Amino acid sequence: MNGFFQIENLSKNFGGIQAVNAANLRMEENEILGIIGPNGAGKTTLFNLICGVYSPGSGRILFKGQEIQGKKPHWIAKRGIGRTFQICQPFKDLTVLENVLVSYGHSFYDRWTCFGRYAGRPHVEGATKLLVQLGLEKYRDWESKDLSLALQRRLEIARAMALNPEIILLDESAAGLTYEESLDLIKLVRELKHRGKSIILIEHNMNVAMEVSERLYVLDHGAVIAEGTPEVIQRDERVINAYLGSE
Amino acid sequence: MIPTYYITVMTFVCINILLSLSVGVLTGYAGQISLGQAAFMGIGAYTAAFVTTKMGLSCWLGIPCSVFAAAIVGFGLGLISLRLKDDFLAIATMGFNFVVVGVLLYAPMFGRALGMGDIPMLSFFDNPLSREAFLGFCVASVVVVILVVWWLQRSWVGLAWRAIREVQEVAEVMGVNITKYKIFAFVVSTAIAGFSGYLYAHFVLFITPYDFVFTNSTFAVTLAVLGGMGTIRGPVLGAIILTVLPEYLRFIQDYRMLTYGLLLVVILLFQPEGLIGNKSFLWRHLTGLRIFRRKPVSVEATQ
Repeated sequence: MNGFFQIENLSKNFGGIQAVNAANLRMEENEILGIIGPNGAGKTTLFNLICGVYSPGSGRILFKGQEIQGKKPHWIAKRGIGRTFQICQPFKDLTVLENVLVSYGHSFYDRWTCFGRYAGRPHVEGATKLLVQLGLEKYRDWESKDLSLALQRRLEIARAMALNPEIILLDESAAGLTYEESLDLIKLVRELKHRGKSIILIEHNMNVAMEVSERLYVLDHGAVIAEGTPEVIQRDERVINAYLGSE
Repeated sequence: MIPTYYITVMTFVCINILLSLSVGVLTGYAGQISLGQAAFMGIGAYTAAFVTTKMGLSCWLGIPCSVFAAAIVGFGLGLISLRLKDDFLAIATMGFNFVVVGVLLYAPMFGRALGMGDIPMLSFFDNPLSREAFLGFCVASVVVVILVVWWLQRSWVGLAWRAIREVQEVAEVMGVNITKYKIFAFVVSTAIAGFSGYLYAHFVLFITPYDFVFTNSTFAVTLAVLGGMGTIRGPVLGAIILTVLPEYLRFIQDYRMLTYGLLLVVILLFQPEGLIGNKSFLWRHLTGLRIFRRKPVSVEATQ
């Protein structure tokens, strides 16, 4: 039976390197799912496969019963999967507002409406509402490159939110943040869930991952080695070995 | 009565503004480098010449034909651009310029190295336009093209182009169909270049492949870079300066290409935003003055 979102036997090779190896994953609607694993475990590759940046070698990705693997990234984005990036990638010379408007306009790009004015009142108001929700309204006319790292991470979330997605993929959103900023991020992720979003987050920061995730998947060498609640994962031998190595 | 000399210079200013805007759209807005714009001008010019001299059709019919011919080839180059980026795209477009000039040089139907002559002046009900009227037509054309580009840059198309210019992989994940928008940028840009070629052909009335060689493509880029990429005013100012200035510097005519090259290097080193690009020294100071101060676009839209 197909669930809300699931990955079946997904694999991806880069030459001789098996980045993702027969991974299986399942997520229910409005769930916060964490993906953890050592460096090079294939976490970001998994995100890139979900978003269509890479095509898988084999396997399936099902979103609401529809296969989305190998589709173009813009097609997947419009179907309701938004993402952030491990290394912040704002459109640097665009203002904060324009950054959000790029994804806010996702429904205009494929029709004649693409010739309409992007800074029209309803669009600006809609995007500004998102900026308010993420505490970025003060900076909306700033060029995004002038924002601090924490604000750029927020902007990435705002940009993903502007797609009106059902699933948001957060790729190491706590990286480089201070303790207080991480707490803000945890709060924000819970708010997103409260607004009905489903979230998959990759985290290196174990405090954040354990605190916010309802279930966790652990990847090692591209394969899922463990799955369960944070409490179960913390005690799992295979996970401890993957992170610390075995004797 | 304006002396013919000034009319000629002003007409070339208009033609160069169009050429410069074609670079402005493609490189300034969409971030796709082209070193082959002269080839598209050539395609437009030769189509105009072919339509009137070989096919005997109305010179006005040359407008859609020139624009369409350049745009259709631009569409093809756009397809190629999907697989190429930055330096590689620049080299491919440069190579494309050589190919077009090669075809024009060796194809008998285009008059080979002798080019195509006897191109008629634009006429209205069998009355050839005077040089003044032709200048008026060129000015009107520039205004229309500026309006089209202005409209595009404030539309979702313009925003998508700018997002692609910044980071195309991210733009695609944000819902922008980069295939469509990159190709569209090529089509719009090459259509404008083709139209400038149409005007050129009907103004000089005799064209050769040497009018559209690679050095003219670098000239087109220089026009846009000098004024400031990513704006409309930049390419317009660049075209005005680099068309009028050489008239006053005829004593160094032989060193023209050297001067353009040097100018390009100096601008890129010390003022990469161009003379009046958005963040250029001059523009920042001009907009600092009260009369030039603009409200941010978002604030204006929500009021």
